[in-house]
Order: sequence, then C-alpha cells, then structure tokens
Amino acid sequence: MLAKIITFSPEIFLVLALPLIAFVNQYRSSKTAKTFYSIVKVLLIFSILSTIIFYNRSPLPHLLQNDTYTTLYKVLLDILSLGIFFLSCKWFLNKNRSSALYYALGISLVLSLNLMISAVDLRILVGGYFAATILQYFLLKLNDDDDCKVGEIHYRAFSFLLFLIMVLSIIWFQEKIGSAEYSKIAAYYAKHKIQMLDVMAFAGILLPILFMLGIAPFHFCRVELSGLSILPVHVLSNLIPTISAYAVIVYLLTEVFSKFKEIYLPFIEIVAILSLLWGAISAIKEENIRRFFSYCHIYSLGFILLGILPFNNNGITSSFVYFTAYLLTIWGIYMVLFAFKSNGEYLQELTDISGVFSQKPYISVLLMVFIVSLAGSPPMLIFLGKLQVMDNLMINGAYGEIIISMVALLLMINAFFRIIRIMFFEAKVKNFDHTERRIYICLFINMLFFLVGILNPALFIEQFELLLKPIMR
Amino acid sequence: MIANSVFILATWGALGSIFASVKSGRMLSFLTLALSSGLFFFLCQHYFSGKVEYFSFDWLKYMSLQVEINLSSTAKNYIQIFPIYIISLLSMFISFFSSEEAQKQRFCSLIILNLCAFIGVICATNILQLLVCSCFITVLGFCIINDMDARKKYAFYNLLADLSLFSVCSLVYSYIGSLELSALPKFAKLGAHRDLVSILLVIAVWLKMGLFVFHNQLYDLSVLQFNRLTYLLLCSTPLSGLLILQKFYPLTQISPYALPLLKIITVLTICTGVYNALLIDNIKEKAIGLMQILLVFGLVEFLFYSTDFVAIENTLLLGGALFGLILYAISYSSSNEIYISSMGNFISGLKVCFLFLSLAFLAFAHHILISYASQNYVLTLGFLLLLTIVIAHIYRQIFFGESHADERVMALLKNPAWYMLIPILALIIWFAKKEYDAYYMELSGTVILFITLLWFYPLKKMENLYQKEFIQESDVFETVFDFLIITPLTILGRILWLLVDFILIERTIINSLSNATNLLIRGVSHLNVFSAKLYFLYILLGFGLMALLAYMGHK
Amino acid sequence: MMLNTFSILSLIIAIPFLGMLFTLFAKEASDGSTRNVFSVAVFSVIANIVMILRIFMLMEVYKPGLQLVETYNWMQNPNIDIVFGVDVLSLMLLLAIHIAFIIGFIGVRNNLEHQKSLMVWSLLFLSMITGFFVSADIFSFYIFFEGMLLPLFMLLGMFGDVKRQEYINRFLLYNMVGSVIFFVATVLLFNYQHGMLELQQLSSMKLDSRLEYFIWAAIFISLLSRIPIWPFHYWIASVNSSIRNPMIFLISMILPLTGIYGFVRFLPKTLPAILGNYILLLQIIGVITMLFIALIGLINKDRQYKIFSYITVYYIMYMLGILTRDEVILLNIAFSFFSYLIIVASMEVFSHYIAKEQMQQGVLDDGLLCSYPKISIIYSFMTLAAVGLPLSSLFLNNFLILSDLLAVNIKMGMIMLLALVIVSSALLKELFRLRDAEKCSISAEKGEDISRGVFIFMLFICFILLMSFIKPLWFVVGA
Repeated sequence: MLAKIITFSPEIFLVLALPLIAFVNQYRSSKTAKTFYSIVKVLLIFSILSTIIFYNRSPLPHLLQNDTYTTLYKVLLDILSLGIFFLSCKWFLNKNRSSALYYALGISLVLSLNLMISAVDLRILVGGYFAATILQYFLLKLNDDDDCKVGEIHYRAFSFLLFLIMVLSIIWFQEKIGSAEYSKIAAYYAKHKIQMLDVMAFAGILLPILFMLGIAPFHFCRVELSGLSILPVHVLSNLIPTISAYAVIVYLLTEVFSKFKEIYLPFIEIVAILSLLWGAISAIKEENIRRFFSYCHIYSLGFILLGILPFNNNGITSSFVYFTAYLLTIWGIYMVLFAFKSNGEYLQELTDISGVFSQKPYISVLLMVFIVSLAGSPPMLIFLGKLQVMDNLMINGAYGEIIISMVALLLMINAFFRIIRIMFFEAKVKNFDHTERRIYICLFINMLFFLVGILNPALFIEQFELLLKPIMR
Repeated sequence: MIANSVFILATWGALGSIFASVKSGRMLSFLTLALSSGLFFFLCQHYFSGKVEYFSFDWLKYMSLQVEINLSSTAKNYIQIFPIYIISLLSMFISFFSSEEAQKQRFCSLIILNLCAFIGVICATNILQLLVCSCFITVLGFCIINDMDARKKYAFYNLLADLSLFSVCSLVYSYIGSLELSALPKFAKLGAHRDLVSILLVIAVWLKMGLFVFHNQLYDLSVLQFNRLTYLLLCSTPLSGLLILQKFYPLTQISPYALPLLKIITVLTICTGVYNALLIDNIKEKAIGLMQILLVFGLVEFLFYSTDFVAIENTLLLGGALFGLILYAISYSSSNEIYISSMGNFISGLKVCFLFLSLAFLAFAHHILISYASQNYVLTLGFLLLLTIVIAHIYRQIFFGESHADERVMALLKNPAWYMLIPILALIIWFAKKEYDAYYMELSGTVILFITLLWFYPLKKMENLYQKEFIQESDVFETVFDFLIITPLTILGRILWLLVDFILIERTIINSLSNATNLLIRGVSHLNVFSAKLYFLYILLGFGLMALLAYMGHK
Repeated sequence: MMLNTFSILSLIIAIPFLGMLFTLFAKEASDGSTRNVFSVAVFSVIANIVMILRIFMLMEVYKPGLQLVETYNWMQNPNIDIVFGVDVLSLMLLLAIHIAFIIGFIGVRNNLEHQKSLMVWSLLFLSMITGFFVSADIFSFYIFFEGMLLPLFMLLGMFGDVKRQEYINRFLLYNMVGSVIFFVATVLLFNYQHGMLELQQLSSMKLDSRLEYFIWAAIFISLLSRIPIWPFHYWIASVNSSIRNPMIFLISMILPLTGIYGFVRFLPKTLPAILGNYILLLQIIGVITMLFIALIGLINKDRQYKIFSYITVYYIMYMLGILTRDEVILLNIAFSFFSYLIIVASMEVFSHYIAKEQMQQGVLDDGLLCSYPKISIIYSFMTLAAVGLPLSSLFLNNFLILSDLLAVNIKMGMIMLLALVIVSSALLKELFRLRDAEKCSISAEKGEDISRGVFIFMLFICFILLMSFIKPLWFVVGA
C-alpha cells in the first residue's frame, strides 16, 4: 500500500499545492505572486523528480500506467509549466493582482493533463479532459474584460459538447466491449470487425482531443480566446494542453485504435493539410500577435501530424523531434511576449511592436531567431524536425503532401517576414518598459538548449528514440 | 637589348606617371627624355652591331595554356621600332620646350609607356601579347587624350575594336588551339566561321585606324594641344590598327569579303581626308585630314601592292610628323591661331618660314617618289598630286591673299620656335638624304604644280565654305549612328523593359500570384469568423468526414 | 564528433562569426562614434584574409578536387556528416569576397546610423557565405545556402533604403522558393542515398530517370533563382537598383555568386544525357537575358542599374562558362571572378559616394568627378578594368572563357559579346558623363574627396588588380 502511495507521489505533490496555496492565501499577510510561485515551484520540482524516479511504476495499473513514453511527456509538460509559472509571477506582480487562483488552477491543470497522459482507461482520460477544460474555463475567467465573455461562452459550450460526445463514446465502448480500458479495446478490435458506429464512437474520442490539440478545423476556441485571455493564461492554455493532447493522440492511435488505421490515416492527413494551409494563410494578415502565433501553432501541428503518418517508428520519432523543437521555440516566443510591455501594458497588436529593435535589440534578435527557427531554417532546431518529417514523407512516397507542405511553408515564411519587417524596419511607435532579468534568464536557458540542439542534435534525438520505445514497433 | 630597354622604360614610365607633379615636371621630363634618348642610342648601337638577342619570358603556365612574352632584339623588330621611337622622342622633345604642355612629366611617362606597348606589339609572336599590348595602347591613348569630349568616341570605338579583336583571337584560339601568330595560317584549314573571323578583324582595324565612317573619333581630337594631337595620330591606335592588320594578315585571306571591304573603306577614307584637309577651317582638323591621307596611302600600298611594311611605316610616321610640325609651326607663329579663315598674307612676316616649310614639303615629295614610284608609278603620282593640291591650298590661304587675321596676330607674327625648326630640318635632311637619281621630271612637275597652285589659287571658292556651319560643325556620322544604332537600341531596350519586365512579370505573373494569395486569404478570413454556428459546423464536418472515410473504407 | 578539431576551414567560418559577436558587444562611443565597431569588423575580415592566404600556402593550388577536407559528424541517425573542403575556385572567390567586404566597409565607414547592426549582419553574412564556399557535402551546402538569406533580408530591410518594402518581401520570398525547392532536392538525394552525401559523389550517383529528372530540375531552379536570369532578374533588379547603401548592394550582388557556385559544385564532370535539354534551354534564356539586361542598362539613366546590368551580364557569362564543365574554364572563371568582384565592389562604393556628394551639394552628377580627382582616378581605373581592358585578370581570363564559349556555340558566343559591348558602352558612357568638365557645376574646393588613407588603400587595390592581370596567383609562392 505504501509503495503504491509513494509511486503516486508526482500527483500527490501536485495535489498538495492546492491546500498549501489556499492556506497561504487565507492566513499569510504577505502573499505576493512570488509566494505562490515558490510553493508551486518546489512542489513541481518534486513532482518532476518523482516522475523521473518512478518512471515505470504504475500505482493503479488498470487505470494509470507509467513508462518512458509517459514520463517523457509529463516531464516536458511539468518543466514548461514551471517556466510559465516563473514568468507569470512577474506578470501578477506588475499588475498587482492576486495570483493564488491562477496558480491553484494552473497546478490543477498540470495534474489533470498528467493524468490524461498516464491514463490507460478511457474513463480516466475523459475525467482528465473534463477537469482540464473546466480548469481552462476558470483560468479564462481571470480576465475581467467584457470582451472575453462571448469567447468564454463559446468555449464553455463547445468544450462541454465535446465532453458529452466523449462520454457517449465511452459509454458505447463500455457497453459494447464491457470495458473502457485501452488494452481491452485494442484486443477487441483486433478480433472484431469495425462497424460504422464504432467509427463514430472513435471520432467522439478523437475529436475532443484534436480540439484540445488545437488543430484545424477544431482550433476555433483556441484562436478566439488567444486574443482575449490574460498573458499567463494564454501561454499556459496554449502550451500545456497541447503536450498532453499530442501524447494522448499518438498513444491512442498507435496502441488502442491501431485497427482504425484505414480511417484515421486519411482523416489525420486531411486535417494536417488543412491545418498547414489554414494556419499559414490566416497568419499572413493577422494583426494580433497572440493570434498570429496561434495560427502558427495550427500550422506547426499540421506539419507534425503530417510527419507522423503512417504512425510508424520513423514518423513518430521525426514528429516528436519537430514537436519538441517547436515547443522550445514557441516557449521562447512567449517569453519574448512577456518582454513586450509599454507603460505596464502587455502589447498584443503587431503595430505596437513596430521598430522595437531600436529600443530592445537583443530581445528583438532573439524573437527573430525563434521565428526563423519556426520557419524551419537551418541549422535551427526545427530544421532537424522538418528534415526528418520530410524524409519520412519521402520514404512514404507522399510527394503531394510534400508539395503542399512546402507551399504552406512559403506562405508561413511570408507571414514571419512580416513580423520581422515590423520589428526591425519600421519606425518605433511605443516606448517599451524595462525588461525584467528573469526574462533574460529564461531566454538564456532557452538559447542554451538551442545551441546544444544545433551543435549536437544527436544528444536529443538518440535519447528521444530510447524514450519513445514503448510505442515503437 | 630591347627587353632591357622595355623594362627600364616601363619602370620609369610607370613611376613617372604615378608620381607626376607639376612642380618637378620639367626636370623629370628632361630626365625621361635623356634616359629615352640614351636608350635609343644604345638600341641603335646594338642594331648596327648586327647582333641578335632572343628574349622570351614565361608569362602564363596553365595546364593547357602557355604564354610567353617575346621581346627579341632582331633586325626586323628594330627597324619597325625605330620610327615610333623617333616620333616619341620628338614629342617628348617638343613637350619639354613647349610652354603649352602643362603636365610635361605625365605626358612623357605616358609616351614611353606607349612606346613599350608598341614594342610589345611589334615583337609579339603570340596572339595574347599582341592583344594585351594593343589594349594597353588603347588605355594609354585614353590617358594621353586630356579632354573628356575627345575621349568619348575614341573610347567607344576602340572598345568595340578591342572586343572585335578579342573575339577574333578567341575564335582563332578555340579552333587552332595555339596562340602563336605563326600558326594563324592553320585557321584556314582547321577553323570555322571564317567569314565572321575575317570581317571581325576588318572591323577591328577599321575602328582602330579611324577609317571612313569611324573617322570622327580622330576629328574629335582636334581640341587637344598640337603636340599631343600629332603624337596620338601617329603613335596610337591608328598605327596599332595597321600593325594588327600586318600581324593578322593571313586571316584577311580566308574570306572573300574582307579585303574588298577594306579596299572600299580605304578609298572612301582618302576622300574624307581630302574633304577635311580642304574644307575644314580648323588647322588641326586639316592636320588630321592630312594624316588620314598618309595613313590611307600606307594602307593602299600595303593592301593593293604588298609594299614592304617597314617602308610604309617610315613614310607614314615621319611624313606625318613633318606635316604635323609644319602646321604646328604655323599655328605657333600666329599666336596659336587655329582657324585658317583668320589667317592670310602671313608671308609678310614669315618669308623664311614659308620657304622652309615649302622645302619640307618638297623633301617629302622627293622621298615619296624615290621610295614608291618604282613600284606603283600611277598611285604614287596620284598621291603626290593630291598631296600637292592640299598642301598648296593650305599654304596659299595662310601665306598669301588678303589677311583675315586681326591686327594683334599680324603684329605678333613670329618665326616658329627653334625646337620646332630643328626637328623639321632633321626630317627634311632625312627625306632628302636619298640621292637624287631619278624621277626629276616628276619632282619638277610637283614643284611647278605647287607654285602654280599657290599663284593661281584655283580652289579659292572653297574659302566660302569656311563660313558654312553645316560643313564646319556638323557630325553627320554621329547623327547617322544615333539614328541607326543608338536610337533603335534605346527603343528596343524600352520596349523590352515595358513589355517583359513591367507587363509580363509585374502585371501578369506577380499580380496573378498576389491576387491568388489574396483570394485565399479572403476565403480563409470568412472561415475565421468567431461564430458558434460555424464552430458547430466544423465539429459536424469532423464527424462527417470520419463517417465518409468509414463508409469508403467499408465499400 | 569533430575529427579535425580547430581545423583551418572551420576557423575561417568561425572568425567572421566571432567577429560578429565581438562587434555585437563592442561599445559605441558616447558621442555616437562607431569607430570601435568598425575597427572590430574590419579586423575580423582582415584576420580571415590572412587565414585564407595561409590556406593558399597549405594547398596545392593546381591540384584538382577538394583539398584540406574536414569532416564533422553532425547526426548519427539519420547519418549526416558536415564536410568542408576547398579548391582554388572557392578560395579565390572567398578572397575576393573578403576584399570586397573591406572595400564595402570603407564605403560605409562614415555611416553613423545603426552602424553596429550593419556590421553585425554583414559579418554574419560573411560567415555564412564563407561556410557556403567551403561546404563539401549537400547538407552543409544547403544550410549555408539558406542561412545567408536571413542576414541579407535584414540588411536589405534595415539599410537598403529600398523604396517599396514589398520588393524586399518578394525578393526574399522567391529566394525562399529556390531554397525550399533545394531543400526538397536535398532530402530526395539524402533519402535516395540513405545517408549523407558529399558533393563530389553526386557525379557518380546513379539515379533512376524520373528521380534524376526531378532532382536536376529542382537543383537548376533553386540555383537559378539566385542568378539574375530571366525571369528571376526582375526581383533582383527591382531590389538592387534601388539600394542606396554600397555595402548592402555589394552583399546582394554577391548572392548570385552562390547560384553560380552551386552549378560548379553540383554539375557532374560528364553531364548526364538528361541535362542536355536543360542546358540548351538555359543557354538560350541566358543569352537572351544578357542582351535584354544590357539593353535596359544602356537606356536606364540610373547608374545603379547600369552597374547591375553589367554585373548580370557577367554573371550569366560565367554561368554559361561553367555549364561547359571544362576544368580549364573553371580555373579561368575563378581568376576572372576575383577581379570582377573587387571591381564591382569598388565601383559601387564610389558610385554611392558620388551619389551622396551629389545629394549634399544639391547638383546634378554630370561632371561631378572633376571636383573629386582621387575618386575620379579610382573610378576611371575600375571602369576601364570593368570593360575588359588589360588592367585586371578579367581581361585574360575572359579571353579564355570566351574562346571556349565561342567554340561551344558561336551564336551564343556572339550574342554574349554583343551584350558585353553594350554593357561596357553603358559604363563608359556613364564615366564620361561623370567626368564631363563642361557640365560640372561645383568647384573642386567644394567637393570633399576621399581621404588620403582611403586613396592609398584603393591604389593598393588597383595594384592587386594589375598584379592579377600579370599573374592571377601572384600572392602564392611557387604557384
């Protein structure tokens, strides 16, 4: 029993954060964002360490299982969350707002997403999904603006609708197979023929996860809310759920619903291509920075999903390389967004950052490096992912997809150059506030990863291959 | 010896042109003159000793290309170099004493560099040396011309000429695989595009020598100081053109068109020369006309009668120098007046000078008769007749008749400077040195004709043409070039620019791509509306697609 | 891992990069003087020139093939080795580019606005292009091929003074099209070979006919996108003719060199039959473009366009020379390019100087050189060398290039010659206009000529050119 409790320690550490935050919020007089961040930081670090230590221990093997695959994603998710919490702290300090709720909701979100990754039962998955959507909804409500209301309603309505669909699907599988466990579902379809309603139930599981992933055409709420939520929430809800959703999708499609391959492969291909083009075309004229990067997110995920096809070992590795590089890059971009501040206001419009180079050259150059990396320019990190994805597509003879992805890449590059042009070539319109040291620290660490990735990419890639082994054939 | 001299002269010339200054110019130009004269003396000594020295230097040693610089001291090279050397010394001598020359050292340095380039051309045994030295002559000529307007046509025509020659050499080399001039006859067997090569060569010579149609480049030089003008007319691109023709002569044989074309041009050029010498008011342009007549005479001798090239070169250069000096002396005597229409009756102040200059002409006539009449009697007499008419016409207008000069000029009339008279005297002696043993009738006839023409002045009416602006100022050929070449090229360029760049690329290709992208953006922006209905539709679409794929899979 | 640590070829890529970092952190004086930044940048380039000269000493200059090869294993799965190597061609080009950079730096030495950025991006570009010229495998080639676009874009956007920003976007975008196509070809080759691929191996690769067709088409299009050949010339012309900063013009004019050099490295010694059609098509388009651009250069009153048209015609001539795959021609192209780049750089720098003076004096530029005797000497020398007079290695080596081209195709050669005549005439015409004393509207005292130091440096450059005419590898002992 004790052993089981100990193996639950990653989750326990996260849960522990909630009463501690509540306690401090209630009883401590000086309770700045730093205080809450310190709590979250310590517990998250412990959670990460215990996740690593118990990387192959499963407290409830029929519901949650851990292996190197889940550990990889969970650690990635936790580290990124830690980084986001670190930067968010300053945001709350600057705004002089209480951060207790944010940290509480944030850490809960991390917990629920971790559970989703470890889940081996659809019920746990849907539970985690439900918790994550609810938590995200409350996180959105941290923004008091009225403009946000319509977006919140949309999010509430559609995440609930998708949750319901997911629940109905699980009920279907439960009724038909007698269990919602992944292994049993996989075993059932290994022997039985797939019916039309099975496909619909499968769609009921897949679509909400795609919604969480933010891929076209299920990206709607993500884009709508990205311009409305507060910056820490925007970063958190854009990055963290994506990792979880991606891990879940890859696992579900390779391990649970592998027999649905004939259906989901063209489906994923279509949505991937749609995302590529949709993201790239929409980004060209987008004026809101956050929305711009949301479209960029759609585009990148399209590329990642295109690369993962047909879910073979090569595809999984190459997409993961791309995905990790993408996360590192977009995280760098969000860090820079924290630095774009004028008179205490965090800037959102592209026109606001006109000529930022003249006042913040280093930050601007770093943003440019990240943007160039997103464009897949060599020798940046994403280039390696792009290279592997393209190689994989080539192996599969997907020449049509290669052409489409290249056209989308060109459109996206056009959009990226627009940002660079605005930052570097146009006249300054705003005076920017002093950039906090912690942003530089984060950027420095990020750039170190970048450099190591550029100079010795094998260090990452070889490790990833080892860690992804549980889902490899 | 030639190699050593070239090395010394080139080094001195290069240093002199780089460090030329007005202050120390006179002294340095004297040193240049002294050095050149000394070297000339040694060269003569070496020549007369009858020794032959072979000199070649490996310039380039590529895998498939070896080029040597040849500067062998052979008798043949010497006798071709000497007249050019003499003219160079003469020009340096005059520039040293003349007060008109402001940049004495620079001019002298350029002269000796140019001399080195000519030596290179004369000694060349391979195409590349010839080509390089010929181009150097073009560049140095460009530097010697110290007037931008005068440089324009010179530069364009010679650029064209050098590129034509460049093409000829490229083609020849590509077919015969050898750079040796001695291998040129092989081209007739191995080469292709013979007509093209031959015509290109003719074009190069045509342009370089400033023959008819391209002669206006020479007339543009009339703005230069007399000494420079004479030097350029004698020892620059026209002579290099002639030398190139001599060296590449085998290539003119391979096409049936080359020589006839050259001959036609030659005849037309002589007409131009006579026209300018008679009708143009400017004394310098008259000098250019005279030079052209001489040049064409040399060309005709060479092309029509295969006369020894060395003799032609001597006549051309030394005769040219003589007439150049004569006209220079007249201009000098009349306070640098250059318009004939502002002269007349100079005999009153320049009697000795007139006699001296008449003697000079007769000495030259004597030389022509002795040198050429035995070979081509009619041509020589014809040439002499033409020359007598021109010279008598010019002398008549300057020395006799009513004076049109203003009082100041008449009052300041003076005999030519000693530094002009000495070279003229030397040339008279040189021309007259041949024993008078034949053609006395022809020479007497020339003298009588000369005096008759001076006395009766039959071409008096031509004086009126000096007032005709159309004749004096207009450059018909420039207008023709503009009309036939420049304007069509300009129009073509404009049409291509508008049609291809603007209409096809900008308006068609770029606009189409831009419109297509905008269409896509507009289309997607309609889908990016934040509407619940649309969101619902997307979800339905997802299910629909899945169902469709399932249906197709089942099918 | 790196097999030859601290190898000299890696070093010549690293030096400008380190120079860039030093420049980035170099402090500007409180009075806004950028001498410090400038000195650091110039020192980096000079240091690299010394290294390049050292490489000349280390290699056997006339030995065919790449020498001083260095290999660096970048990734093991997929196996990607980064290979560097040099030959005379690449080294000559590198040396010329570095000298051109110094000339360019001199041209912008008095710019005070964003001097640091200018130097930083320029050095980054230099590092990238150095890497490009020493790359000997397909990946490093692609990496540097694309890597140089970013600094170029930044330089164009920040300092190019290009009137219409959309031009820059188009320019970069179409360069990216080439880059993307090249990427696809690279991955195809990589995929086909199941691993890394040295450029030298390309010649011996046996590809299936469909793949071969596609790969060659992709390589041709991507390389041509860098060369101002029809229809790509339009974008290059629209950007380059409006650039008003000599350094940027220089850098953007070096870019086509990458396309030309790509042909040298990619085309096998014996051309596959499949390339026959491509090459014929290319020859036709090439000569038409030459003539077309030369004519536009002749009619265009903009001096910048004239220089651009000159550059274009020469680039295409070199490209057509390279397509003959003759080893001797390649050597001649290397020697010719050396002078060509230096001449173009000098002409552009002084042309810009004249334009700036013209604007400051508020006069027309006709006869302007009469008031600037030092510039007049240098500009005249460069123009005369540019038109092909024997003042640089352009003369002799172009002779050999043209003789081969004429032998290959007489019609092509003659059109080429005509184009050369037209561009040369355009340059001469411009020189005469600038030196037309009658139209000179300012006095010599008013014009601020270049300093004595710059003049001496430029005389030294003229000396280098003259020496290159006498012997292209004069600076290599025993060559």
